[in-house]
Amino acid sequence: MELKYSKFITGIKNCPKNCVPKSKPAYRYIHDLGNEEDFLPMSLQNSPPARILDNNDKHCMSYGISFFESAIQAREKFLHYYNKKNEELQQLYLIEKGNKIACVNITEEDGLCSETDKYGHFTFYDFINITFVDKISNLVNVIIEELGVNGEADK
Amino acid sequence: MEKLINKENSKLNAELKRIGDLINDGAPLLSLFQNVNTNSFYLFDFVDFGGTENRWLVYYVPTKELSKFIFGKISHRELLHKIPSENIFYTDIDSSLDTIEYIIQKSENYPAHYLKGNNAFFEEEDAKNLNKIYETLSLSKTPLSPYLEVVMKDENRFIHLHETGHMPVIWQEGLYVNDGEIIRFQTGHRGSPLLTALNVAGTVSVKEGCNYLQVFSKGNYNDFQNNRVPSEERVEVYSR
Repeated sequence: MELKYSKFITGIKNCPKNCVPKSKPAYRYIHDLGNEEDFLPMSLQNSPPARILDNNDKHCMSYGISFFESAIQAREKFLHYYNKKNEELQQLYLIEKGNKIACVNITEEDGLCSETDKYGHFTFYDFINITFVDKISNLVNVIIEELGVNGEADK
Repeated sequence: MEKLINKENSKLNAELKRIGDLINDGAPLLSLFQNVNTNSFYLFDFVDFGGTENRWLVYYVPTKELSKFIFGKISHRELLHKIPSENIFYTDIDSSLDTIEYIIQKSENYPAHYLKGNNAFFEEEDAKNLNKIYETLSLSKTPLSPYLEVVMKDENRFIHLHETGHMPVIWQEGLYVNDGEIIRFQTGHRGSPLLTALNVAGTVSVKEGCNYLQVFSKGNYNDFQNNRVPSEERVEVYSR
């Protein structure tokens, strides 16, 4: 299967690296109920614009989609940056990242998963013609809602 | 995005090279640049977005203040507030363009929240290209003792130290404190030390004419009072 954003990464050496197909629940920030714009790679985001200072920011991972292994880890990473910001930048961060954490059931037919880092983050390189909104099973607010025992986003 | 009124003839005349990001959440939030002609440092500090553009404050940051931020001695807010607002530039960067050109200029009016800063301290895990940042700042992280390492010697004869562990006893100009940042320092010529004990946020100054720094890392207050600090506990760390 061809990767959806292959034309952007063909010139990047070893990209994607050590990635394999997997089926698992994956957690990601989205806006409200979610739309396909919430599943754009960072370098291709339009609204708000991708934060790019030069071409070094258009690296391999920036053409994949960020996911976490659990809603708890997604929330921890969000709050790590959110809590360091003043009120105005917190509002911009919510606009940029979203206000919900979605549980998305990805399968081996959907794309390739990178290795997971110590924060539970991995990058997903989706195959062509894959859509995500219909794979969303659960949603929680990114900031205020309690998470379940295993970090599952409650329905 | 807030509307800014440009100051006339205020473009920053500097050739800037990106060193690394002090804060990067997958994309840059606070990025370190260097003027290739003067070696001075500038920060690109994300503050706003609108349309296809992101807005960054751009400002010169003295090496000493930058090192204080990196060593966790001051917050981003404290760092930003040390920069006179009349010295702050900005640039709007259109991420949709293939070629990005920095047009850096001053504004007549910055919204107060642009200059507010964030009450956050530097964390290594947030940085990108940290080794290059340390290398450019001459941050060598030379082990000094089990408790301290030298991370930078700057052009103003300041030595910047990073605490790697809690000292069993800490001295500060003859005052015993059971916790704190730095021990007592002594600098001088070889064989004839000149006392210049300082304790300034992980930074010690070295007097003109002095050519080394010694650190007394063990002992207690009575030993200090009676000048009974064993010489073998002194570690030479600095010479020029």
